[in-house]
Amino acid sequence: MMKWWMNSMWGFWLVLLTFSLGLATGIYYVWLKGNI
Amino acid sequence: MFDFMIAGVQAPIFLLVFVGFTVGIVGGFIGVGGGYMVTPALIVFGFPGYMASGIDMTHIAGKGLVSTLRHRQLGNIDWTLALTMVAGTMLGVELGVRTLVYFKNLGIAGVVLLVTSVVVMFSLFLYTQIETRRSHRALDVMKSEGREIGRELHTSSLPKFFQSINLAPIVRCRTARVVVSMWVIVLVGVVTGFLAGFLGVGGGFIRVPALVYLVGASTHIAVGTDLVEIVFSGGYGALRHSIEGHVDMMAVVFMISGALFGAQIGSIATAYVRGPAIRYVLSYSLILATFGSVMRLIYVLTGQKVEWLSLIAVMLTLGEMIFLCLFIISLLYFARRNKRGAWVPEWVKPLVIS
Repeated sequence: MMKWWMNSMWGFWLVLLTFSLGLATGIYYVWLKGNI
Repeated sequence: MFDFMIAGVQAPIFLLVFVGFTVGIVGGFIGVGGGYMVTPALIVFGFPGYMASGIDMTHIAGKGLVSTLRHRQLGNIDWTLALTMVAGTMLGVELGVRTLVYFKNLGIAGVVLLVTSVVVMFSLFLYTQIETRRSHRALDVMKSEGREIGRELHTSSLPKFFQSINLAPIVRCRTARVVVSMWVIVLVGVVTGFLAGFLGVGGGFIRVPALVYLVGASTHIAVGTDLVEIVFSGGYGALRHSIEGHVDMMAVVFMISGALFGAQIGSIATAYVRGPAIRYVLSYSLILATFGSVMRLIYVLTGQKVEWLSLIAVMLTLGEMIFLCLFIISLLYFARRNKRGAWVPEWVKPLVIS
């Protein structure tokens, strides 16, 4: 399954983007909430 | 939390170093200053808008210098092209700023700016993405036929048209291996400078595709040459902002400390990939920035009442930096694995140098 995601450029793109947006959400809630 | 006394805000040091590092990688790899990512991020961290622009510009000047030096070592700078374009860029920036002031006086600058940036970024994304996919497929075919593949391949026919304009003086750009009318280079400088001045950005994301698709330079040369422009424009911007008191040097120091490492990694990574890989990252950066601008545009048009739209714009700003940075590091990792003969995804093979 993982290899399928990696072998497709769009799949890799999606996995990476989801992870990045998740990390950005984490950063927002841990460090920035209330600061904006 | 660190107390930035000049800016009058408290922000985590770690995040500033982190932003400097990630945007350093992206900037060194695709040849942009990254102002369209950094300024919104600094505003998110609590810095006032004018201070965010000043800190961003000053950090871009320092980071641009580091990336330029590294790209010079890699032989990615065409000085003839860079210095010919500077004059046109300066003129274009001045025209862009004056147009912006005109719209500001009409009271519609905010919406016009957002609409223009969305249209420009989305058009560039579309063209870059379609052309790069075509090049990727062509590289795939060449690889399967066992043919020799160089560092660059682009399938656009636009450079042939611009290089055929026979208007003296004709400039020979030796490193870029391009022979083109000086007026074409100046015109590219004016147009990209105009958009940069109007949108209030450094303009790397417009200049790199313009150098590749209009002048006909290879992507690596376009990246290195554009960074020279960024040192000039960033340096001038940093000076202007410092005189106006828009720069908190402590914030710049923290960002530069991350960018120093990031810019080196990003610049060195270009030596491991072919041109289309750089153009892919550029087009991804454009589409994500477009989404961020669309969210901000809807937020402004709805009277700044729908809070979750602003939150999504924040996520996209931070997410974009992390995503692009991870994508570049992944390409670097796959390129090294490919060199060792280890397994790498099929789509990566034509994009990296083995």
